[in-house]
Amino acid sequence: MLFTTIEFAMLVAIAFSIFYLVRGVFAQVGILLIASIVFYAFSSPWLTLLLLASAIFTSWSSYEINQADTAKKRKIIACVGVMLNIFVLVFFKYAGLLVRSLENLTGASLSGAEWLVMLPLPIGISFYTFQGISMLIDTFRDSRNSQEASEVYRSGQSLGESLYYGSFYVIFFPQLVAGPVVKAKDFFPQIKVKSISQINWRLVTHSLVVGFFLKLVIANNLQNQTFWIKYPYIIGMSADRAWTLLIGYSCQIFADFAGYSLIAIGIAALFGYRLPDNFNYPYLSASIAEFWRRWHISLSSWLKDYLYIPLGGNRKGSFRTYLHLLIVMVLGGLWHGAAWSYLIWGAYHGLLLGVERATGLASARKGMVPGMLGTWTRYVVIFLLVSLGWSFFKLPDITHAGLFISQAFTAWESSVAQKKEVIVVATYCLPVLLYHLNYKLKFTKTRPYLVPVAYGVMLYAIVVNGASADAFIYFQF
Amino acid sequence: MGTFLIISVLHLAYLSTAGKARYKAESQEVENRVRIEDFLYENHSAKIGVIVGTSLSANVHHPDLVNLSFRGGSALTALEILCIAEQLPETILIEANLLYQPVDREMVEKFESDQRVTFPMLQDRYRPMSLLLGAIKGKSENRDPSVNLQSSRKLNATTKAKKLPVHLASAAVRLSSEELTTALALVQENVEKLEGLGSRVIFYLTPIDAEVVGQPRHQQWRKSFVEAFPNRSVEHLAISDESTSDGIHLCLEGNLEMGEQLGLLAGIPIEKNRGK
Repeated sequence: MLFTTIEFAMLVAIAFSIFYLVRGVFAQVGILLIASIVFYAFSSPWLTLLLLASAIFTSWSSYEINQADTAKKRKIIACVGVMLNIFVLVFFKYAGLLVRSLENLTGASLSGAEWLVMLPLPIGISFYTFQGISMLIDTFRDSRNSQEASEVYRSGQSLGESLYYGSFYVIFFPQLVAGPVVKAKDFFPQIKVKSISQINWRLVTHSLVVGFFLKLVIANNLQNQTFWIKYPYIIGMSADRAWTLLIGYSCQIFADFAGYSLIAIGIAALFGYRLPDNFNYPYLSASIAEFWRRWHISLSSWLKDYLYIPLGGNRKGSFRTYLHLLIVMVLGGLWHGAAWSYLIWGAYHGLLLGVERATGLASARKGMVPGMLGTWTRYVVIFLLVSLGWSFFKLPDITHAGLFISQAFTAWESSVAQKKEVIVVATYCLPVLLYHLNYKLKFTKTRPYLVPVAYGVMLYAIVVNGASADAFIYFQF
Repeated sequence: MGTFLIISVLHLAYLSTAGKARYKAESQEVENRVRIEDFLYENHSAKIGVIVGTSLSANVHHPDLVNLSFRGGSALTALEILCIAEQLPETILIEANLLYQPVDREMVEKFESDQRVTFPMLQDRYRPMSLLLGAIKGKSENRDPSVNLQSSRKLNATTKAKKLPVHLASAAVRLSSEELTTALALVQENVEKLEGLGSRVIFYLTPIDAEVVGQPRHQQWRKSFVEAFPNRSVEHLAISDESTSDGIHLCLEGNLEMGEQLGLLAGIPIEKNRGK
């Protein structure tokens, strides 16, 4: 079920009406559990069983970690739970890629494994398995650090309660299919009785208006332009057109994913839950490292907490630090999709991070051009580098991505003027630019009357200039 | 909310004073929706036929025909739109070249309710972006048709070498049996429905470059179509200037002639067309 459909609006309205009528945390969570199952089953009825099995198994493993009387047992259960989540992810998401790659490498046809290629990709599998892993690791860490009941399980002491609240954490519908990836330690303390007077209406209004505006007006309309970054249309594409569309795609992917995250935050806030912010003006980054602190923050922070630091982070010498960065970025890239181009995209960012670290450019103060001009130049350079990387997102076939990038750098000789396309892309990118500039130049802080005007304009644009409710880009991950 | 209401009132006021405001579609999708709005919401009682096609027919003009051809879209979508229309012209001319392209159900669903009639500002031609582009176009476009013709020729000459490989690559991929079966079944279903409503259906093929027609997809489709509808004839339009701008789209002169040819198929003499 998409956030932009009437069915979703009805689901939220019904769940909201009942949620604040029932009493007690158990009943309220029950309403949200049912709403979450309806939300998921609406588009994937059979795959809901996999989701529930995954959530229940993970919750049970967490309960067992808490109950285990020795450190060794706790470690074994945590490892098995994490491995099983990884197995589910690899099996459903990457088996097809592995079979196809093996066929290409060996030249043999693995007809017996064809069913692996045909496996359906459960929506949101990358998100809910990562949340499951977070619950297991947080429970394990808590149980290791404290003799008392873990923070994660303060809400559920018996097995039944653990399964109930644990499953709720994994399948809570606003963040189920595309994040933000919520850490167990941040979510479980929020499972309490909620009352309507506690709703942060300002957060709800801001998140929903800006979120729907970014998705329906910016992302969906830009999609009609960036559609052309597709094989075979990229054959013979002029460099100026390639760059116009690529910049449009950068704004589209930001608007699409930031829009989704904001809607998720707004919907969760309606039920009294605070999901973490996922974007912090990422296109105002003076380095790639800063970009990753601002883009998809919940994933970056997950990868840092559960992968980079356990690998050793930067504590094991420079070579290992570079290696860890590369591993994390490559795996982070591959997490986005079952195609080698995502791996290349991750490696591209890993290499850029390495170069920045080696040259000292990661420090925001260092730069060839001093002052404001230097800072803004760095913003532009980082934006263009990041945009170039999105080519691998838009064109999952590596040869197509290579062709597109080569066109973007070489095909300057026969530019075909696409004035209308430039105007349309620039107009739809303008709000993304203003959104970022507002952070830096603080228009709405110094002129507060602009805030209601901006909301009015956004609402109006949603009504009269929104485009089709296509799936969010991150749903495929 | 105040800002929202003020802008809405200003928008409505602009639409009522500027009449049918000048617009330019920002994308193929918007352009296609405007075509549907034209077809569904305007009075076409004087029109004799409707052209249903893709970008191959989208530039065709004939005063007695309504053109419901979708750039980047499917003729099947247009057929589904015809099925929900209140009034149908007596002749339906269906371009058969790319009739296998899938239906855009979402597009059809958008027009099943009449909210665009109740609230005209929800129509695509009145989108702020359409009006903005229309205003820019109004200031910059050269109104002299001979200048436009020259620039069109210049553009054709420079772009054909670039665009032909795109269409060759698209047409090199065969259709899956599921795509074929679905498309043929939909053609049959919609044509039977429209004929049942009293319209006359004529299929036609626009001329495209031999190199493109020779590609597997076109060969496969044409063969399957003839096999599926053995009793229906498909008219190959005889255009004297069959040169295309990119391998599949006729140049300006070809489009003008195609309009006359389609008019003839619908039973409109060329003299009548020229007289208008």
